[in-house]
Amino acid sequence: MALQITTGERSLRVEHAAGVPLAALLERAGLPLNTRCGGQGVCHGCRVRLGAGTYRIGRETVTVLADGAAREALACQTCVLSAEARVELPATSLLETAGQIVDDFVLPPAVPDATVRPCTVTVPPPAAEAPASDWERLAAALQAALPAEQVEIELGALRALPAALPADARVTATVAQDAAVWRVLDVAPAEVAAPPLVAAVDIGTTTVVVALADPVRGVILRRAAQYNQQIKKADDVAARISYCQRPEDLQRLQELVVQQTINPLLQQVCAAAGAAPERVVRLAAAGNTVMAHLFLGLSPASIGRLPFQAVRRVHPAYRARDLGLAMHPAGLVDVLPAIAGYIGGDVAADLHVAQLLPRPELSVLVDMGTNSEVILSAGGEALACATAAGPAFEGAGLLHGRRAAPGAIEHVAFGPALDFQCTVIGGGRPDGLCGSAIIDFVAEGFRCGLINAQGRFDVARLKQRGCYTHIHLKQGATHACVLVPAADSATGHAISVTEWDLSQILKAKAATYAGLQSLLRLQGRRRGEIRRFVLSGGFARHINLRNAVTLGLLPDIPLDRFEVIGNGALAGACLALLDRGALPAMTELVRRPRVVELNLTPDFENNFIDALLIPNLNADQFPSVAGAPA
Amino acid sequence: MAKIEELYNAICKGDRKQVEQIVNQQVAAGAKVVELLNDSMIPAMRSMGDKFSRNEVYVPEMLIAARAMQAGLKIIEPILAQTGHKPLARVCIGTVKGDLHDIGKNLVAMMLKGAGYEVDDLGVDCDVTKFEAGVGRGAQAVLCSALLTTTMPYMRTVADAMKGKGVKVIIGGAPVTQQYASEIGADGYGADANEAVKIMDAQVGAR
Repeated sequence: MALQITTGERSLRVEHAAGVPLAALLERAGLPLNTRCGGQGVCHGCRVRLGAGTYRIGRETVTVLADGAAREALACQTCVLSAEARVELPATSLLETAGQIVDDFVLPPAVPDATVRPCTVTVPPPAAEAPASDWERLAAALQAALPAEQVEIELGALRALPAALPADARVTATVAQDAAVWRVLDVAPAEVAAPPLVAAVDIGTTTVVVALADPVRGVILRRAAQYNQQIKKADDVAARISYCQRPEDLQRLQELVVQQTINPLLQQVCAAAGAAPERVVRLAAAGNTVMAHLFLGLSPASIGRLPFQAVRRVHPAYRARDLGLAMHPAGLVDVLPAIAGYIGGDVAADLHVAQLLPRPELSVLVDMGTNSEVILSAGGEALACATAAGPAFEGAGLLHGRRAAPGAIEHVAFGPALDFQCTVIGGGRPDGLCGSAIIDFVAEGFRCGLINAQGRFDVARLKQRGCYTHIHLKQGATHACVLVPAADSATGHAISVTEWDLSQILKAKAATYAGLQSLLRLQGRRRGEIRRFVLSGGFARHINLRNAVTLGLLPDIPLDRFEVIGNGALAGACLALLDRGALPAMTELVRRPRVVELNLTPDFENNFIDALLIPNLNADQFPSVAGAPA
Repeated sequence: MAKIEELYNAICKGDRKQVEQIVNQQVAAGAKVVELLNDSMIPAMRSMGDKFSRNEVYVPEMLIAARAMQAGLKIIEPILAQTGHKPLARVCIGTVKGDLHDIGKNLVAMMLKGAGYEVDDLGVDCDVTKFEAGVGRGAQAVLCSALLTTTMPYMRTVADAMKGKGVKVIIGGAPVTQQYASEIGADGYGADANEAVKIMDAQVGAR
């Protein structure tokens, strides 16, 4: 039994067995599709076109004739029944493997005081009057040079010691600080020792970024990003917790993030820097608490039910070999400390980088992602909450939504004539639109009256301007606006925004805004008192702030009070490696914020429902937004 | 009393203030609240529910409409109680132990009220004792919600505890499926808020 698969220019034959879902068959064939809903038939990410053959789609048996029209179906819901079949995969359904690096951030200038360093010492030969072993002599030299009270050596390095120690030799030991101890990870004659490298990792629910750094000079050498391969199994944090109830599924998620996501990135950045991955002797990872658990292979189940407790919040340095990382096997692995079950090390990193807590004025930090976290801080007191925005801002779950990668529309501008001006990442024809573009679209649409406060289109205007279409989703038909006609897109299909998409965006922005509003009310503060509003997260870096205010995602405050720090999680992970004071400072600060459970906050649901309108049911909160409903 | 278009539309649009204003005016003018409820308010909410099922209305609009309905109900409920008005049935609803997610559960509760049921909302993190107390107060059905697979297993505990009590157990929430409902011996599964109403109608309601 053989299946003929075509995708773009490629064509291949794959052996198949009856009854295996097409999505699984394609994954085995090295063509993983976008099954971000976990193959539940919900996200429509794995659409394929079925050519001649017989199939079972859901419970229905469907035959496509050789001269008949191809049938669209979801690969996760389809099994091939006939011996021969033809399937076409649109590029948009393939799980992308090349993500855009959305991680620009600025490291504060600092004197390099890294947690890893090469330490070159002269080790005297053993003296007859005071006999001492090789290690004792090296240890004494290191204690004096570092300086350090406690030094220890790994067995692998100890094995290399005799060869590295000819008489009166200068040797270079690669040492890494592990709490009060400096550990010797490698030892070599000074003239041949390769300088050590370190790697910072931002483990996002959706995107993972790796930065390779030189700890001696304190500079970033290379960066690379790709999608967290766990999205093949489940889309958001809640779905990941739900997915890994069985130990084998937990192990599968750990392998997906380490072996299929982080290791290829480590190999990529090392190859680009001309270095062997074994030179990476320390890695620091920042992620939300669930991502940190899955990275370590710890069950996140307890985070998924009251009282939402982690297995561990503050971590000691683990060993690379225990996690299967492609780096020095005895290398140390730091996981940034978490504030709570739903407020993780990524937020601790943001807070450290933005230096939010020490400031006296009312400051806000929002880390926008699949889960948005909000911190409100004033004069040393801080409140924190997490709110489930869902993946819509990252393009997922929208009909033609894409992650911020080349080919995605990044910005849209238009007026009443619906003269859409699109900016595409990397130029060329677009194949979808990412979160920043959908925010522009809704804000511009609201301003010119195309979209009303409920997120509904002026259908007459769409028709009059020739931009109307209606689209049949699984749930039913929906009105839609054609943003890019088929002739101008990279997919051969028109790129449209549906009313269903608008409803998803409204829920996402309402969750974020309501989280902020609830914290403000708890503290008895008003939005006008916010002096500094820090936005972090890859998605936040690309948004048009004015449009985000018009949508009602961000509060209506002077735009110069916003500060976009970029990928604070990655910056924090870099600092944890390059600045010995950073990790202790983060470990101290995670105890500070008081965590607010929004579902127990009486106002939250009201704030959420108020925020479901554009910009808000309480239009007086958005005085600068014209056209707001009275 | 015929349908009051204005009230019906205000609920569908989700205009909470207008709903309160019209209901107050009607009550002051001596209108029968049962008729306000049965001829304008319940039909508005039922029609929103049906549109929701047909994908003509999405969750944001449903939530806004349900809250407007709630605002109207708040005014007439004390008067209804005095007149001895009989609801379709009495039900209790709660998010199961270990789970605090309640927006979905609240929407179901509001939809059921909007459809003419008397709803005893037990809140979040409900153990069997809370559900049993709901039954003790006269609930004919127990509705359980859970958002995560980590909390979903408690539904089986509730379903087991309700066996032989003569009450229906209906479950719902993101990870819940019909298959799971059958597996734990629940009487029904609602995929969304409107389906929950339809299932209640079929199980205990008069319609």
